[in-house]
Parts: sequence; C-alpha cells; structure tokens
Amino acid sequence: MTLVVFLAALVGGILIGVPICFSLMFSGVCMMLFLNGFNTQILSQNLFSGADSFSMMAVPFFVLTGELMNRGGITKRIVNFANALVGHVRGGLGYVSILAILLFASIMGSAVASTAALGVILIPMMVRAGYNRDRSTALVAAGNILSPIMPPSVPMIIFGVQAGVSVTKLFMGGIAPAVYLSAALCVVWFFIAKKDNLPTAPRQSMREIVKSLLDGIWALLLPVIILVGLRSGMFTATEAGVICVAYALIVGIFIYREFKVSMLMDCLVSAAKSSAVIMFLAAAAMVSSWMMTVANIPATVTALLTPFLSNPILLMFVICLLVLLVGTSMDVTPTIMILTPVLLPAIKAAGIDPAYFGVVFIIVTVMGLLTPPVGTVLNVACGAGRINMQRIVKAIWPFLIAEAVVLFLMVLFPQIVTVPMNFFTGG
Amino acid sequence: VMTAGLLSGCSSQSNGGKLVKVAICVSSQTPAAIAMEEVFKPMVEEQTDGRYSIQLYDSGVLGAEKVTYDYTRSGIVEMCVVGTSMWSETPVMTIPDFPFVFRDVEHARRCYQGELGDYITEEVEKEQPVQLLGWFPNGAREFTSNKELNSLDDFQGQKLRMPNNPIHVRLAESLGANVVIMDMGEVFTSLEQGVVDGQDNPLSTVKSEGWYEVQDYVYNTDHIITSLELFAGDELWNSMDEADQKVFEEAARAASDAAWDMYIDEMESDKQFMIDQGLTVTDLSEEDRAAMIEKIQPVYDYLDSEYDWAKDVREMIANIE
Amino acid sequence: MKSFLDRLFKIIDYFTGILTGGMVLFVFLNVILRIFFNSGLTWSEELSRYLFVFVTYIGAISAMRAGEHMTVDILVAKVGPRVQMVLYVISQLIIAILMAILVHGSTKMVLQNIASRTAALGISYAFLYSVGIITGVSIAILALANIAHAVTHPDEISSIVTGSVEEAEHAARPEENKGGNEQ
Ligand code: NA
Ligand code: NA
Repeated sequence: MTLVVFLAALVGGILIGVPICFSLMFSGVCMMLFLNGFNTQILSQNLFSGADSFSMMAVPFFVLTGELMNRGGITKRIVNFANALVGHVRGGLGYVSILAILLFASIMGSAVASTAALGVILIPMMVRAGYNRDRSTALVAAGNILSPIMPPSVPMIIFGVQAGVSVTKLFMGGIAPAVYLSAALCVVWFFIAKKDNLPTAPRQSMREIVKSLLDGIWALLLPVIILVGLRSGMFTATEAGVICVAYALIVGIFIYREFKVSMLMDCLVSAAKSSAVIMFLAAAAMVSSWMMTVANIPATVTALLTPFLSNPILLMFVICLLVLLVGTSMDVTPTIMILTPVLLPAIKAAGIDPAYFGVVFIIVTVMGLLTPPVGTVLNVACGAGRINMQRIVKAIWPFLIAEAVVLFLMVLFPQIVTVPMNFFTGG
Repeated sequence: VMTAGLLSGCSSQSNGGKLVKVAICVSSQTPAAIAMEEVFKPMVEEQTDGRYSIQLYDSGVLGAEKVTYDYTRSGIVEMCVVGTSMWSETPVMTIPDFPFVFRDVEHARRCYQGELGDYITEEVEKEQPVQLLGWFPNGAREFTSNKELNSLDDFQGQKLRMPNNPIHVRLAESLGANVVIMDMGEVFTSLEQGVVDGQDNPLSTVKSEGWYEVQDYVYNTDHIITSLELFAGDELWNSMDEADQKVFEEAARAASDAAWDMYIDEMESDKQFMIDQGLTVTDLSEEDRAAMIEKIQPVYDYLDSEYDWAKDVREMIANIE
Repeated sequence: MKSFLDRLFKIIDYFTGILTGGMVLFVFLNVILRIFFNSGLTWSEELSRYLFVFVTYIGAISAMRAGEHMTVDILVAKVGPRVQMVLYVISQLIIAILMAILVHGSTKMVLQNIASRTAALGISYAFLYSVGIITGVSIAILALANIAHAVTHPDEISSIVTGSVEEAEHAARPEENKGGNEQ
C-alpha cells in the first residue's frame, strides 16, 4: 500500500509539472503522512546527507572536463583524426561519426553534452556530403548514448554510489558493451549506405593520416590516462575527474592554445550549474528512498519479483523491459535514483553480480534518451540537425533496434560483459 | 520476513504493538546486531505482551552514525545502536576511543558494563534528550596493510586510511604513518587499487567487508577497544511507564552480555580466519606495546590539553579490576 | 528590480563557479601530494565535500530561477491554458510547501547541532546545516513569485509551463547544453 502512495505521489507530481526533484521530496512527504511519521527533519537531513558525498564529486569534475575540451580545441581534433582514418569508404562519414563518438565517449561522461558538442560538427559535415539529413541526425543521436557507457560515465558514478558498487569496476565493465554497440551501429549504417547509395570521399594519404594523428595525439592521450590511472590504482574515479580537468586545461592553454584563461570562469559556472541540478535531484531522491527503506518497499518489490528470482536471465529481461518503459518518459538520473534502491535487493536475492547489473541497467536507462516522448538526446540532436521530433523518431528506429539486440545478447550471455569487465579490472 | 515487512509498511501499529524503529550502524552479522535481533527484540516483545514491536534496520540503511543519533534525539527513530560520532558535542564520548587504556577485551567489557559505563551514561543523559541503555562491543582495532607490517618501525611512511576523528588521526601520525581520511564505503576499492596501503579496524569488520581479500598483513595491536551504545530517545522513554522501562533496560543488559560473549568467542576464530586466508598475522608483544604507548604520547598530551578530566578517567579505568 | 535580481543571480552563479574551482583545487592538491610526496592533507577531503554541498544547494536556487530543474511536460503541454494555469499554481505551491518543510527541518538541525563540529576542520554543523534554510527560503520565494507572475500574465501560461520558446534556442546552441539536464 505504501508502494502505491509512493508511486501515485511521484507520478502525479511529475505529470502536473512539478520538477522531478521536488516530486521526489513530495512523494517522501506523502509517505511520511501515510505512515503517521511526519517530521520535517527527515526531509532536511536526507537532502543534506545526499549531497554530502565525496564520490559524487566526480560528476562536476567530468562535466567540467567536457566544457574545457570543447573550448580548448580537443573535440574537433578527434573528429579530424577519425575522418583521416575512415573517411574514404562508402558512407564513410557515418563511420567517422561512430569512431569520433566512441573516442569522444571515452572522455565525456554525459550523452546530452556529447551530442550537443559533436552534433553541430558531425551532422552538417554529413549533410554537406549529400547524406540524408534525418538519418545522419539519427546516427549521431544513437551513437552518443555511448558517452555514459564508455568510461567515464556520470550515470555509472550515480549508480555506483547509490548501490555501493565500485565505480571503477563499472567503468571497466562499460568498455566492451560500448564496442559492441558501435559495431552494431556500423552494421546498420552499412545497409543504409548501400540503400541510399552514399558517395565516397577520396582516401587520405598516409602523410595526412599521420599529421592528423600527431595533431590530435594530446586529445587521444586523455582516455589512455584515465584508463591506465584507474586500472593501476593511481587514483579513484573522483580523482580521475580532477586529473582530466587539469589535463584538458593544460592541453587547451599550452598546446592547442585555443583556451583563454578568461574562459575558465564561464566553464566553472556552467559545470557548477549543471552538476547542481543533477546533485539536487540525487539528494532529493534520498528523501523518498529513506521513506521507502523505513516502509520496507524494496522487500515488497522483491516479493513481487519472486517468481523470477530463480531465473536470473528472465529477471534481468523483466527489469530491462520495466526500465525501457520508465525510460520512455523519465530522464537518466531520476530513473537511476528511483529504481536502484527498489531493484537492487531483488538483484542480490537472485545472485546476480551487482556490477554486471549496473552496466546493463545503465545501458537500458540511457537508451531511454532515444525513446519518445521524453528523449533528451533526441531533442538536442534535433536542434543540432535542424529537424523536428517526428522526423528523427522515424529515422532512429533501425539504430534503436540494433542497440536492443545487443542489449538482449548481454542479458542472454552475461559473460560477454563480465569476462571483459574482470579482465580490465584485473580480477 | 517479507510478509512482516509488508504489514509493518502498512501501519505503525503493526502486530498491535507500538512500532519501535531501531537504527543499527553495523552489519547484521556483527555481535551487536545479532544480539539485538536474537535477545533484545524477543525479550521486549514477549515481556510487554506485544505492546511494543521492535523493527531493526541494520547496516546503516537509515543513515550514517551521527545522523541516526540525531534522528533518535528528534524522535524520528525511537532507538539507535551507534559508535562515538557525537564526541564533538558530548566530550565524554571520546573516552571509548582513548588508545591503550584497557588491559584487554575482558577488561574493556568490565569497564563499559561497570563504573566507566555508568560515569559516561550519567554525563550523556544529563545533557542530551536520550537514554543510554547499554554498551556493546564495536571491536578491538587492529592494523592491516598491503606493505609489511609486523613491528613498530614498519608504520613509517605507510599510507593508512583513518576515520575522520582527531584521536585516530593523531595516533596514526604519531606512529609515523601518512594519514588518508576516507569514508568506509570507499575503503575496499582504495585498498584494492593501492590508493592507500592499509587501515585500522576490528578483524570482524575486515572479515565482513571483505578487506582480507585485498590485504596481506595484520598487526594485532588492540590499540583501541571501542564501543557501540544503545540509545533510546526521550520521546519514546517518557511515553513508557516504569515497568516497561524496566523491561527495556533488562533486555538491553541481556543483549549487551550476549554481544560481548559472542565477540570474545569470535576474536580467536576471526584471527584464525585471517591466517587461513593467507594473511601474515603478528601479535603485539609486551615490549612493543610499551614502546608503542611511549610513541603515542602526543595523543595523551592532546587529550589532556583538550579535556581536564582525561587523566582522571584513565586512572579510573586503570583501577577497575 | 529585474536587473538587480539578474545581477544578484549572476553573482550567485560566479560564487558557485568559484566554489567548484576550489573543489578541483583541493582534490587535485591531495592527489598530487599522495602520488608524488606520499602524504596528504587531512582537511582537504572534508573541505571539498562541504564546498560540494554548498554548490548543490546554492546552485539549486539558481536553477529554480532559470527553470532548469528537470521537468516532464508531456501532460501539461496537451491541456488547455485554464488547466495549465491551475496545474502550474498547484505545482509551485507544492514546491513552496516543500521548501517550508526544508526550512523548518534545517532549523531543527541547526539548533540540535549548535555544539557539534566536523572532525578535521572543526566547522560547526550548525553553520553547514543553515544552508538548507537559505535554499528553502530562496526557492519558496521564487515559487511564490512564479505564481504571482503567472496569475498576472495569463496569456503567457503555455510558454511558462512548457518552456517551449527557450527549449528550441537551447538545443540549437550547444554551449548551453552541457549538463545533461535540459528537457
Ligand atoms: Na564516457
Ligand atoms: Na525516453
């Protein structure tokens, strides 16, 4: 019954237009009233405790890194390098986009930010080469959900902190799925390029490839630093964030000389604002999740999922469907904050590795960025590609289906996630 | 269990009794949590004929220690089992973290359950809207590390994770270690990745948190034998008649006894467990203990400068049989 | 008045930016000290953590004013202006009430923790918890001001509840779209 109160207040609040962070507090207050345990300190204390987290500080750090990279000339050099490498095959700019997105994803932590940054570079490039505008925009949108799957990843930090799972392990678990998803997108693009009979560009000379590699080497070193640093234990995920900030700053100012110190304040303000929104929501979720704990709601949900507990694959499948459904209308951070405390006990009861679950859960959640009616990456890609929602929704489905197939395989064969994860973690 | 959860979720009057939420900051496998589940809960529920229904929330799911203590003072949760995180406002609560004041764990038990416990309880209850009903073992802290650690000299230059408490920090610093402060939740990964070399905690914690998988050395120093306390908020306490209060007090005492018995039994098996897991375990010799006490003199100096009663309390403890 | 508020919020934004810079600095300092000098500052973790809390709380006020807290408008975009007005007033009232709860609860926490201090820096918890009062009061005022604005400008209600005009601009200009928090 408390579960009903929780859902009714949360969904009701969201639907009448209360921002999601306040809807979460509202559902917490409604549960207090329902359980005869109203006390204002429950709200204020949980909000404070939710924001008081060292691990979560990785969020502003990685957001700030993205800001610095765009203004420091790092982003466009990654695109140039990808273009020199694969620009010459049929529909080559599509593969360029996928490769650039994958490289970019290994530095950026948020799908919306990377779509905004790369969209304005990649989509006009493809359109100018005579590619279909809708399909080009859809490809960029579908590709950019790699950002939070390939490490670093803001959603993984949020999940890891809430679930008590090592953020580093989640990061390492995201590498292989990001590669599978890029491969799936390449396959879809191959057929599109054939069907649309897309033009080819002249092959670039070895000298040009080497030149763009040398020019972009500093940008391409950043993901290497992150991975090696995390893998070798030089620093934690939060600390990797500040290393990235420092590195992007140095490269932007001293090597590419495109970043002016006067831009720093804008970047800091922008990072502070973005992460305040994410963190305030994460903190607000602590209010409702505290009330859920008191009311034993996770146990209730585990009870509802009992028929599936003996079959982990079926359980994962059911959860994926549920998250896809929630993801049609809910953004990434609230989905993670609301569902993690509810689902995790069932995952543990079924004997599923929480780190494996976290990786799959994040992938399904970020796929929600591509599903209407509320798909933030779709919105941003539409803006960058200058098309409307209906057109992109029509063009996105082949990519979305390809990604769903990859997801299905990861549920069916968990080893394709866990084996590389353990390899990269060194376990 | 799940049906009980559903029922209690529906009403604060579950099973007909008044719901008493108890926030426990340690995991369900610790002696304190087991004693609360197996001794305190059934004793209270039976002897009050079900007028009270005890619901335990272990592993800190209702919040960090300081937060759940605040919840208890405010009546948001009725009771809590927490460590000493209220030391900054209630200075006598620093006493359980005094290093090398107890001769051994049995001695610590007699002190907490006797004269020392009574002294602290009186001071706390005088100032705070809580009742301190019982003293539980939180464990004797030992050092563990990835670098060789079996003598006093080995501390030099090691990166040790310490809790954010000046006594613990000063202790490690005076031994020559470099202190890194971090949250419990990040310790495993940091030990695994080598962000820090070691830490200090009771072996039961090293076992339950799985840290033994990423540590090679144990130095059995028993440097701090710290406590958990069972608090009841005054709101709950004043709503009870004297007979019910007596039931709660006796149940707390019985649970305390059970927890200390369990803990003392476990100490040897925890040590054996570490050896079986391939860790090098070294006990602190009498000479090294004396040398260590000498080396950490700055900690006592700090305590004496902060609290004018610190010296008297150490003497009181030394005089307890 | 409007330009005064614009300037005030500009200053607030700069303040959170500076705090974020401080966080980067203190965490970076500690990483460098640990990796290269095998030592660390016991207070820097604590300080950066509380700077983060302040960025979150103060940034939430600024986000409230800019309408940047994540919102779902699938229902409110479809109903008529009269219903939109009713729903908008209700939702802003809910926010104001929640913030009143935050203020009351934070005040209790402040009073309860007058004597308690953080371990490394000895900062008063009463001071830290008082940020909840500041945020609660500010956001509640903004919510009530939103109601007043909507009631006096009923013709603008559709764009207020959907934020549609702004949204198109935001999406087209990538530099304003970094945080993954726009709708
Ligand atoms: Na990424
Ligand atoms: Na969606």
